[in-house]
Amino acid sequence: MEPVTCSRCGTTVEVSKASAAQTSIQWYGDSSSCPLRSDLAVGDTCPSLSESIRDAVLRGEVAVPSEL
Amino acid sequence: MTSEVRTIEAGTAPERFARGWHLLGLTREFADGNPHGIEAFGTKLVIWQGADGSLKVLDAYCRHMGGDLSQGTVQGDNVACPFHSWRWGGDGKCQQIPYARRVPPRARTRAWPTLVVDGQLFVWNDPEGNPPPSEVTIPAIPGFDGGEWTDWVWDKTLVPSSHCREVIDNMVDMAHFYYIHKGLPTYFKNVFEGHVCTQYYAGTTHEAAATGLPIEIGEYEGQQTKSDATYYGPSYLVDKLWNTYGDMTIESVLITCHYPITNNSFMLNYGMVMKKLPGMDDATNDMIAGKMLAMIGEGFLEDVKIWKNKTRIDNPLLCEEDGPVYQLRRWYEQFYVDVADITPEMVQRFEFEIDTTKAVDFWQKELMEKEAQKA
Repeated sequence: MEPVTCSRCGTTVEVSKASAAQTSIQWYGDSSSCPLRSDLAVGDTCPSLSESIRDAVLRGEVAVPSEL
Repeated sequence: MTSEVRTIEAGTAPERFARGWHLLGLTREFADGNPHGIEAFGTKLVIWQGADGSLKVLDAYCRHMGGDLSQGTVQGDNVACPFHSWRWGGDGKCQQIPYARRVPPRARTRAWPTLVVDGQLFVWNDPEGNPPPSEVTIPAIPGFDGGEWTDWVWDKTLVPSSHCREVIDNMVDMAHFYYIHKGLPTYFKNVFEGHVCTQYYAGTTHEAAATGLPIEIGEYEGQQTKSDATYYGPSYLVDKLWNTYGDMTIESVLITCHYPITNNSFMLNYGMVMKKLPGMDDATNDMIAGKMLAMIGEGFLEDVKIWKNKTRIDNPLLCEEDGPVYQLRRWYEQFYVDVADITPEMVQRFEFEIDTTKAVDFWQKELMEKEAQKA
């Protein structure tokens, strides 16, 4: 898993991708460090974090295995 | 060169029972003035409604000579043992021995902390004996009493030879929805955090799951299902369901929950409230909810058939389209260790979205081929 820092709040999580559509996100510490968390449904990924993950993928910091 | 063969590690089920709120049934099952017995948590419980109106739960076996209190009678707020009529209060204290001058000091049995939410009765199990913390309470259904939902339709099924981890595993098991439940998941995501575990599901149905509904629902091929399902603690799953048939959506809340009987058997309880459909009377709405629950119940029986015949497996061999089974079990483990031994990994937030592209593509082709064979 690769560290990704959210551009909005600075929280760092670890991310891995098995394909373009598959994402695993491991948080550390308390997710209440995310300022949007309390307004989101429990299962929703923070939109700012999603954006930061997309950016990290585009920069090649999170590898996406090529399609079989 | 030797080719290595994968071996199954069956492991052993934990001796203890999970810490958390466990639903025993609907309050209406127990509120008839009689004591009720339930085999659970490796023993038997007695449940009764006292004259004060509240439901009380004790260990059923009388601490005097072992009589079964659930075979006794309700006397005021107390339950009387059928063997010698010792009277036990909901707090676990022996209140009276009718033939004795005094009750022995320390005449106390195990009283189970109870919780009633939306007509459901829960007991708190904690192997360490601590009271329930307020942050792990059971959520109420918004508007439950407001008349917009039907009353509960409810059923239960005994799972006779499995540990209840089997039902938890389903939370991440995308592919079994196709092979066991006639679903075709197109979107599947899990999130674990604290004592809560969620599954987000969207998909279609590949058989006439709507057969028998006494309403016009269009072609079953058009049925869409969206489901947000959340475990609050180790045993109580709240599943918000939206089933869309053509231009009509039926909204319901499905509860799937269980309590352990032994560490190799459990009772599955499932029930539903449905948002009443406009233009239909209560009896029709109740009938539709009942039919939906009956179909869901048939699905659970398919699960039970698998569980009865499968082996316990601690080291499942997974492909990328399988959900995060190991992370799910890491989350579930928190309920089987002392609170002091809960590790950050068990409760830290973890999110996992499955890539369903390949699965959907294959399943759609398979269904089309089946249809073509029928024609």
